[in-house]
Amino acid sequence: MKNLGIYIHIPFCESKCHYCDFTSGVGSKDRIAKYSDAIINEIKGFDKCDYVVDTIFIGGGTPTSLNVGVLSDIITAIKSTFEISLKEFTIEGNPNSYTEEKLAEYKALGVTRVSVGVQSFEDKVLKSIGRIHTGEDAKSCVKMLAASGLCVSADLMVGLPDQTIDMAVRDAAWLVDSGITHVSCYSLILESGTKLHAMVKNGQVALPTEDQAVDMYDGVMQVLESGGLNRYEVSNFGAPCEHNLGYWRLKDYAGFGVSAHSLIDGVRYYNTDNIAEYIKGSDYIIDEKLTIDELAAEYVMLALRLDCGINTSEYKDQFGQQAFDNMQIIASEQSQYLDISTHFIKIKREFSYISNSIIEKFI
Amino acid sequence: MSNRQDNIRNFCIVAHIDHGKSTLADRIMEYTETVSKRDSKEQLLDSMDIERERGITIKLTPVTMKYNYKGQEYYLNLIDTPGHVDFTYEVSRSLAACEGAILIVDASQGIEAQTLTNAYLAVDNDLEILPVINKIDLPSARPDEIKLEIEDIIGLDTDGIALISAKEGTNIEQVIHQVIDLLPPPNGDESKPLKALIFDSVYDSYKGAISLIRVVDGSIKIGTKIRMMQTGKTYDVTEVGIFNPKMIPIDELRAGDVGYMCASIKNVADTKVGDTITLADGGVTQSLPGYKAVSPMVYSGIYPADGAHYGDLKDALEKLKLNDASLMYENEVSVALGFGFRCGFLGLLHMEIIQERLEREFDLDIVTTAPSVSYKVVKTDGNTIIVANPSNLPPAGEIEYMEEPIVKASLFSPPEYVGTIMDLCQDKRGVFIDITYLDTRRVRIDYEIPLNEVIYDFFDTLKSRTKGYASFDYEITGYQRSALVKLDLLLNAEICDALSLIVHRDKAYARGRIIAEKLKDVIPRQMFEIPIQASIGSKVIARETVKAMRKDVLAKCYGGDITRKKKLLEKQKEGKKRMRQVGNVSVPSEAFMTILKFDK
Repeated sequence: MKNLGIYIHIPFCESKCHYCDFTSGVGSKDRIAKYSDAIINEIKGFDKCDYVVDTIFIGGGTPTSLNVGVLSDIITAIKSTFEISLKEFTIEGNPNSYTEEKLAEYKALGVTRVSVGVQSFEDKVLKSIGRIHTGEDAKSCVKMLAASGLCVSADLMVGLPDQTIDMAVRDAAWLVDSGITHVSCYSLILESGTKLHAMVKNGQVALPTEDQAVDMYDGVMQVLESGGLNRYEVSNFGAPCEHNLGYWRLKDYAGFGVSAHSLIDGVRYYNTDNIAEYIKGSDYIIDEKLTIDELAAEYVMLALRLDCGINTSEYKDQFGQQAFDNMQIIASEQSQYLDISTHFIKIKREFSYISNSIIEKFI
Repeated sequence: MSNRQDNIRNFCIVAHIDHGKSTLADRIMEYTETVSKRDSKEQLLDSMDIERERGITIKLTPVTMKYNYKGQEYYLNLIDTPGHVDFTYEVSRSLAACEGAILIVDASQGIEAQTLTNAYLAVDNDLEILPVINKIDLPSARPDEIKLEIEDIIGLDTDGIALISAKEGTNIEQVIHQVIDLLPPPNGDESKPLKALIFDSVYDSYKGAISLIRVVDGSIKIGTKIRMMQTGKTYDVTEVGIFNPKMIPIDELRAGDVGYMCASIKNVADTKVGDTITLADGGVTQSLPGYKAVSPMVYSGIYPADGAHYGDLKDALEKLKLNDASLMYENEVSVALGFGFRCGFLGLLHMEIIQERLEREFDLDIVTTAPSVSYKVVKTDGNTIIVANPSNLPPAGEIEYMEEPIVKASLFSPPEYVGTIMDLCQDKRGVFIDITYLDTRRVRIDYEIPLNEVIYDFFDTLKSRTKGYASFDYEITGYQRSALVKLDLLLNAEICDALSLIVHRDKAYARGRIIAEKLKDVIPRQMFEIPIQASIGSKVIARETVKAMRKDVLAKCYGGDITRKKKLLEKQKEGKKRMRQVGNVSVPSEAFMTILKFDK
């Protein structure tokens, strides 16, 4: 029996943030009910059941904005379909949508880890990216989560409009002091089609420069690591998220919900990104059947984002000597950016923020 | 019975750019009911997108119109002509197919550079000139003064001259009647063997090469066995016809007619513009006078943005060459850009048009290098070579001296811009020759200017500094010795050959600095720091730096969407592949264009 990670996508939010280009929107009660029915159908229809589910991640969107009853129905469906032996069960949410009551109910459902989208504690910054909470709201939420006894992760962003290095560092320091165990720090990616993209184009807001954004990231990283939250992936610090590690180590996972992705036995699937179509019950789409070479390339792409890098013996076992030799050649060409030893190949820390340009050479 | 040719008029319309040539052509077609007003698009004869968008005419388009006048049916063949200075050559081609020309003069702007050039061209071709004054609807129209200008400067009689507004359709009938009354009919001999001039050709993927012809003597119809006098090749005619303005097949084209001819000619090079068509058996021996060979004035390298499309670019240039005899090209290899072509153009506009046509009509992504002229290089060993590509310049030690082409530029302008224009010409190393006040509102200024300066931004700067009022024409007068140097651009200490320029020593510093600054803005940050240097020989005259990239990580993998991340990486990689490699530096195509344009 193989381990399986399950991802549930909840595409509903109380409002849409300016930078978000992901499938999400404000849902009516009726639509949410139909959507959860569709997810439950999809879970029950899953036909490969020789798996043990070891991680669940409910992401979005804002899953915590849902009634706990809806989540409970979904969890029940998972339990009735799969064998379960949970190491980790994460739910994601925003500061205003967590309450003491909900936390208690999540615990009852088996949730072990909560993640909260803080992004920043600065009101001006929050406003310019369309967040509906204040810095104070976020702080009281983090305090409440930290007191719950669950593992807690908070998301920060750098490179936001009106953000300075001081602000970003201050945000990170506050999180270290709060005693939570995990922080994700993402650099803003300006996606075309988002409101923020238009705002930047019209000159309504100005983004920090590339150098400033990287300085913010460096500042945040320093504060987090000196506070004991060590980096294990380009954007992640502290006690690793098992579910995400699963993605990065090419473990099988099943995604349920609109635009969710799956990797089952080397085949990638994905669902429609149209909520109405998903509710109607559209079938998943086969994206690609990965060849061994493609799997090897993905392994490198994902492993090089991790601080532990490519595990050379694992790579050789999975993909063979020939693939290993080829990979080694590329690695030696890029040796100025890499730490290469007999056991691992990893990107030097100072180059981790240009990892794409390095990874690109391997694919 | 009267000679059928008495009822034919072959004429063209010549004018300075923007004086209303295409609009008058449209009105004449509407008036003769060749096209109904309802069907008429703006500027019917301008068939290329570029022509309509820019409001200019590049290609020649003939149209045959039927018109009843004084109880007789007339066939009026109108051949539209380009108006821009670059296309003087094409004008002369259409003139050779006509007996007369309508010369349009703008009622407010008066005689401009191209008015004169085209009028003289028409005179040289023994054409009867029919002047008309257009745009009389404008509040600034001053037809009486313009009449005097026409009489004084060109020496044409303006008694009874048509005062028209092509835009509003005023007095169009008068123009048509004057064409019939005042322009001579053709006088070929239908009983003689066939003699026809190819004045243009276009390529059609179904019919092959289509020749636009003027039959001088004899006749041509389906089945006629013809011979091209230059190539000696023979063909069977498969179709003849006229334009109305669509292609309409007819039975026969006879002496005096203008139309088209197809003969399943596959190879585009076999329908040479300017060639004479005669009968395969018993044809004439004396061909019609062709056109004087044109020599390109401006050269630049054209390369496929993606080296894999070299073959497509070659095909496209071959097809363009069929339509545009003035385009020259030959193979060229650049270290930075790979395989491509060194192309010769009539001028800067011509160069831009060719680039646009390659991109639009052939859907090619191309990289163009800085325009250059051809320099005479006298070497220390006494040999003289011609260099049109800066990369081919011998080392400085082998050069005794260099000469550059000089043009005589004639600028026409309202008097208030004289100072501005003289400043500009001085700045472009111009030498003042003469200034003539044509009347109270127009001045003609003559300068000698190195062509090297004209091909950059002269025309654009002139237009912007004079708010579009000044016009300009030039002709090559010869070569002059000059202190020229080769300016190289180095990226990460390697010379990028496609960016090299030949410039006057006094201008090298300023230009080197501007180019280095521009390159800094267009070359993306890469994994290492990139010094950009401008140098003359081994002497560095400007330096900029592209800092090393610090950030390229992508967003998190939402919900395990690894594919999206992978696609983004692949796209990024693909994007880099489309860039050119100069040493280990990736250079985007637009970097090669930055040296084309100089903002002040």
